[in-house]
Amino acid sequence: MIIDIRGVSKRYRLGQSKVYAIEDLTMQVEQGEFLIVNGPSGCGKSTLLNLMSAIDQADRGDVIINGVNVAELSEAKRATFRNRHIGIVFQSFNLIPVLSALENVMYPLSLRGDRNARQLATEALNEVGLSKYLHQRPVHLSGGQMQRVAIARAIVTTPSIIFADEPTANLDSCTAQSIIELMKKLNDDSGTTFVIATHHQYVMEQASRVITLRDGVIQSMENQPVRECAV
Amino acid sequence: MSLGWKIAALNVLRNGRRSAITLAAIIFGCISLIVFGGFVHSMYEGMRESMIRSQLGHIQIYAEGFNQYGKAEPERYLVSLEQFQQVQTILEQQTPALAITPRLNFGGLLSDGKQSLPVMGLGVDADNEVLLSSAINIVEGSDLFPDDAAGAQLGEGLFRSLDVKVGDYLTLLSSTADGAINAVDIQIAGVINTGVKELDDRVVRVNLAYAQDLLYTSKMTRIVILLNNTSDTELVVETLRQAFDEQNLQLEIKSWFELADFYHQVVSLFDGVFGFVTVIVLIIVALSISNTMLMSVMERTREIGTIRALGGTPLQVVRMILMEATVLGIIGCLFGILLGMLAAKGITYGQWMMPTPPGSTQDYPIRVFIVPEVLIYTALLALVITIASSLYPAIKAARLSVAGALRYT
Ligand SMILES: Nc1ncnc2c1ncn2[C@@H]1O[C@H](COP(=O)(O)OP(=O)(O)OP(=O)(O)O)[C@@H](O)[C@H]1O
Ligand SMILES: [Mg+2]
Repeated sequence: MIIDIRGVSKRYRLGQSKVYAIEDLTMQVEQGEFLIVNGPSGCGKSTLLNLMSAIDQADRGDVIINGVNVAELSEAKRATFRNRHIGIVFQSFNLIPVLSALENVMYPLSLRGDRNARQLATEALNEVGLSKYLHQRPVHLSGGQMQRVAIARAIVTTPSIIFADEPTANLDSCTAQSIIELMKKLNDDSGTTFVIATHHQYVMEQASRVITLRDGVIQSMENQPVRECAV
Repeated sequence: MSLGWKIAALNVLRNGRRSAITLAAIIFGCISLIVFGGFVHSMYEGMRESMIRSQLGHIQIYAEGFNQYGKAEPERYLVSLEQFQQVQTILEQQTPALAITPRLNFGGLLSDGKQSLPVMGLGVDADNEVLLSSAINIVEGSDLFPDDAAGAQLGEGLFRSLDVKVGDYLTLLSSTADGAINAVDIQIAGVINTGVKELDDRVVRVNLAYAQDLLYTSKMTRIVILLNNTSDTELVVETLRQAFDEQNLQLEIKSWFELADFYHQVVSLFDGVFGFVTVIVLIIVALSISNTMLMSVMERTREIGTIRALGGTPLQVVRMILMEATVLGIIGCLFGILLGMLAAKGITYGQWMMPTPPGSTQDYPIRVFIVPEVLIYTALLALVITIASSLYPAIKAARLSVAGALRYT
């Protein structure tokens, strides 16, 4: 078990009142899963992913990642914890514009002072099929290529789990499909655990499990027929 | 180059307009400090040299005890002709000077028949005194000549307060060394301006021999020495001290540095003014940098959120922004120093006249020196202030909530 969430709530202030983005939610994520979180807009998918990736803190309940209760970590420790254990892929890629593809992938390693950053980043970019674009700046890459760089940046630290919040929302459906295929391939080949928030139909078919949220609570949880899943 | 410095440098380039504003603030600060500091130093030097060359000389030598008791009984503490000649010999043999000249000071009354004014009388060796009076301007009439025994020069202020013209005769009264009253006639040979107002209002210069006759003495109050370079003063003072010790000469030595009280007052006043201006300039520069950095950082909120999400600690974010400030500071310093030096040269070259400084009666062209200490001080201050004023934006960036920053569009 990589992630263990127990009775977690997260509220946001909306004018005078407070609204629950996530309410008393309990769930687990197992090693090697390809977990999809879906549901209508505003149902709390991003909030849930932020809690599970130690980006945000719960108001109530425990979020335990790799056996560590993230609420007990300081801000700085939590950052270091994310760097070591968690990979993140964003909807709008969020590459650092002044850096080349290679340097973007090196970046999370450089934050921890890894001397092999260049070599590891080159390998990661190879893995996502971008070995020819190492020295391109993000502006010179297509959306799909940028998201591949972002995926390389997520896997380069060999995290136990990768979170992707609507990774295909800014891509055309053809590119979107190739990105999903890439993530699925990484899941199959190296057993990297993925949690993906998406509406994308094609992704659902790949999922090992689909969680549907509505108004901050789990509406349904379906186990897909696990097709000869590795690990 | 490490990734951190690369990001810093590239971000400076990326935010071209904002970086330009920040650089402009740093450069403005550097130019202000360099020009003002250089101006103040040129003023110090101008004042120092003018005092030395019009009045003080570099070194003055008195009879032993003069500085302590001479005020009350000036006639008892005089340098004899023999001592003067000994000093002359020492200088010739050991450290040649530009000029060595005797002076006899006395108080007296100057009368034009209608009114009498108290004056500061000064008996000088006209030939030797020429070099030492290079900053004395003759406003009217001529110089003092030894042949013209009764000739006298009056300070401009004194001359104006008497109803006289050049060539007129006046009576000069004084008490002699043994206490009697004596008077001589003098003829106004010229009117002088020393650049020091209090002197110009009271001084009467006559030939030494004439003054000695008036006072019934063959001695002098002091020996004044002018050197080639002001920076040699200490060395020569030391040489003289040793020689006086060896030859058992009962004389006291003072350098211009000990004598120029007014110079020290002005220096400490303007050091204070310079400090105050520095603080004002730094506040303006700091506010401008802080404001621009804050905007440039807030524009990148989502990028900072991303860096934090990828595992950058708050400290690493602070460091990233301070690195950017350092890059800006270094570039700003280099340009600021360069432009500051150009501005200093330009202003000096322009030869603008400055309004008459306090306590002075002459105008000077504005000069701005390029002073190494001022350059170093400016560069360090500029760098430190750039980094220090980026601290607040940096901390603000580091304290952004990660989730909030990522939602920022
Ligand atoms: N920082 C915030 N301040 C106030 N309300 C917020 C904040 N973040 C989320 N919310 C609210 O919490 C609820 C859940 O938001 P969340 O972004 O998790 O939904 P989502 O499922 O990701 O939606 P979408 O599909 O549009 O991305 C929404 O009602 C949203 O308006
Ligand atoms: Mg969302």
